[in-house]
Amino acid sequence: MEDTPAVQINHLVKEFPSPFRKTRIRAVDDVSLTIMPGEVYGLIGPNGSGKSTTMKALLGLLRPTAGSCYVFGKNSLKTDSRQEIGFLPENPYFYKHLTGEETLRFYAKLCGMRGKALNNHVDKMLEMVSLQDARKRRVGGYSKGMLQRIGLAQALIHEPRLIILDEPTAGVDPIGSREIRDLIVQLKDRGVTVFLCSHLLEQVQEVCDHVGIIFNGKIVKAGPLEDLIAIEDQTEILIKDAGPRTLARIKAVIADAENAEFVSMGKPRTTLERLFLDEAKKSNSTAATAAPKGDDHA
Amino acid sequence: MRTTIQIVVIFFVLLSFGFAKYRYEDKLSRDMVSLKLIQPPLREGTSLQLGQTGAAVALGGLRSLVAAIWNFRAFLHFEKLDWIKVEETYEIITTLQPQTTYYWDTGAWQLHTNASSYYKEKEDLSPLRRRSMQKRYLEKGSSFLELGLIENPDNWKLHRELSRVWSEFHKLPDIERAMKHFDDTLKCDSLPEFKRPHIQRFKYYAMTRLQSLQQEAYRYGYDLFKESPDNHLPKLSCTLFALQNSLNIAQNERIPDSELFPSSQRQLEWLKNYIIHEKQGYPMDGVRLKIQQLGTSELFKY
Amino acid sequence: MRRNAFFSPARIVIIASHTFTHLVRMKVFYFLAVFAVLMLAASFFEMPWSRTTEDSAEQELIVLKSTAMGAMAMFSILFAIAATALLIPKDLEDRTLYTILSKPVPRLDYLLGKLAGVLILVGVSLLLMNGLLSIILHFKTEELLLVEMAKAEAHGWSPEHLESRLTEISQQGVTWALQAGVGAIFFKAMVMASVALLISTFSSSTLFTIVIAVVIYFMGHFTEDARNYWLHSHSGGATKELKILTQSIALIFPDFQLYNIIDSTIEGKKVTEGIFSRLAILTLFYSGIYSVLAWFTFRKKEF
Repeated sequence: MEDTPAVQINHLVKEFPSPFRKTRIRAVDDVSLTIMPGEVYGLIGPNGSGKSTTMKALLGLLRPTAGSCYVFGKNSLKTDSRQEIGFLPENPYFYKHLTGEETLRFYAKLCGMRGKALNNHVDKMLEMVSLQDARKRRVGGYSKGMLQRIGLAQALIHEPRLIILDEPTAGVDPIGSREIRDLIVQLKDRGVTVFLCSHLLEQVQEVCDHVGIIFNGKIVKAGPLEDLIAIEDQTEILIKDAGPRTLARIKAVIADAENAEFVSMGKPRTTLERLFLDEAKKSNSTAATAAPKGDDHA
Repeated sequence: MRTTIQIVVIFFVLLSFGFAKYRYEDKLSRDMVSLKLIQPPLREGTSLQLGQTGAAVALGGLRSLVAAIWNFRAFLHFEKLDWIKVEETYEIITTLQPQTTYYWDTGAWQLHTNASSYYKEKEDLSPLRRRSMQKRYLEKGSSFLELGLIENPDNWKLHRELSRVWSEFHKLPDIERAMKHFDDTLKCDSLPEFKRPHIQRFKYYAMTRLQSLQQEAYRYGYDLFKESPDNHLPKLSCTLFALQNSLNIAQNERIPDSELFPSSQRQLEWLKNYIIHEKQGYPMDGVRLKIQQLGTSELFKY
Repeated sequence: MRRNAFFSPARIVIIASHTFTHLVRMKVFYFLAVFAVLMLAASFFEMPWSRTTEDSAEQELIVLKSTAMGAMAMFSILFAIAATALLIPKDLEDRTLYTILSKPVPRLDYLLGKLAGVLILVGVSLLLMNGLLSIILHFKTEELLLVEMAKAEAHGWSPEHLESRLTEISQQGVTWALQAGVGAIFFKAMVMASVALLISTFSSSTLFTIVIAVVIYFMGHFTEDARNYWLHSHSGGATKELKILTQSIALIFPDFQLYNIIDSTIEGKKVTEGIFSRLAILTLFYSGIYSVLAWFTFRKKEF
């Protein structure tokens, strides 16, 4: 059972008829990829490279022109395959007339959940995405961040084994972004397979353990993240509280070594994001009353 | 390409389904028409007259609603005394709802009573013209009722209306013509039994107004009188009384006054009321005399 | 529901009730409801210039019924077309469609659920309006019966006469026959909703769907004439083209004239069970075919 890949895409080709010329556009050109259960796979590429098309083929929203897609061994064209999938679309939109709670109940029922189990799940999901306070509010009044969170909740409501996320942090503020990334890590710990598409490379780097790069419909590079981004011939050492004499001695050791070459030395930099988050944390703890979560104004 | 194929397949499926269903529909349709549940298809040319909106609703749904609205409009035309529009409107209405007696009746009434008397009294026309217009609309009303009878053959109400049109004193009565309609009314299968005596009496009254029919009238009236005490009505009694006089019926064959009238007081009352209708052509032989006689004896009573 | 059947009634019910709530919470429905209520209120309008023929009582009831049923019919058809026409394009535009179809929801269930939701709404509205009509009609009929009885007193009618009049008036009151008329209104709406569903699977424009559906609605009223011409006309002058044209119309379009029993029920005529059930069966067939064709188009659609 564990040998069955969570996602198996075999030589997927998708062509669209071009409105102006007789020739067809190949959005996806012979893409093959395998995702094993428990992996976090990131598909990265520029806009229009075929990421969304690949995802939609996996979800059965499109029919492949050639090739096939399987989810846990079931063909993507069969309705059954979607029992295991939770999908968060890009810029998700939900029925405005429903409240957050009603939305989750609706989708849960569509997946076959009933009664007490349903109620428990809905409560759990709302807690997980920190939307308990907004559960009775109509989705039409949600902010972008809240929409993203309810989207995640709906994707997870039926406890799928595979989550597909299309640009999960697009347009979300850094705090929200961080929360989503934390969630993905949580899911990974629970053994859920995650397949995400993004063009925000830094974020992909943080969570994914496997990556595929797609350009013009073709996978140009794919494999474990660490392997891909490791610069083979360089090593990084991070030292704390080293005085100038210690640094000089280290440099001398390197000079003595046979093939090693000193490249550079300097103060490591934090990222702007980390700076922002630290400031946010500080201001949250110094404020007399913390602003309630779920009340962000995106 | 895909869409074209899909459309072709859909048309094909619809056509096949069409072949399967059309006989079913045809049978259902004919059954409904025979049960008078749906109207037969609209006569030619109606949609031209209805105006776009009316046509839309009529064809799209409720003819009865359009008829009701047009009926309202007809009354507006009536208020403006626009007889041509009134006539047109009722033609449309009865095309939409040919089986609604009310519309034939009302439409005819507008013509044979309202329009007709309008022209009868129109002072700025010459007497000759007045008369001819009056007659014209009377005939129109009558023809309208006849049309109604084509759509509704056994309709006693329309027959009765025709008999009224041609027997009514205020119009241009043609008693012989009215007789035919009275008979048609009485022949209707749909005529309820409790209405029959009523119609018979009115037929009788009309007959008494025509000299040539008085003999027949008397026999008819005599039978009616003898048939049922419900027919012992003032007018019947008075006319019989007068006919007995005018036809010189032998004493032993007459219905005596004591039978015709409940009391002499009543007789006096009834005859006094009866004589008012002299102008309408009812027989009046011996009425005046009797009134005088009874009047004097009444005087002597007190 | 672990094993996702090709077709699942439970899921259709979920989507149907969701669609129902969706439509109810749309402002549009309130507006139309107000319209319907106004029309019904307008039917309180008294018969003007009644000639005091014996028929005027019935005529008042008929006018009341035809106005109310007219409003009900207009509302149901318009709503059936418009609501169905906007459902799928709206889902597509709002991308809520993705979230539904990415769940294990067979496309047939989705379509049938939407259709059922619209029909439930139309059905409920008709029930409410019918209820209101029945109440008003009942009181009006009682009132007219009393007037007639007073007339009988005053003019000394025979018992049979009174009996006959009372029966004639009661026939125009609240009867089972009238309910058959309301049923026919619902059937018409059902067919039109299915037609709109089919068209909306092709077209992503609500307006286009509505326009085409209305055109089909009109054409459907000529089907009977076309069929009569094709089957029963004996005129030798018919050109071949005309024959083919009338044949095509008769075959492709539904025959809406059959639903005009509504008019007769307004006039108090009785509809036999046989006729009514045949009409029901025909309606189911129409809805069935259009739904299947809609699914045929929709199942291959790509998003």
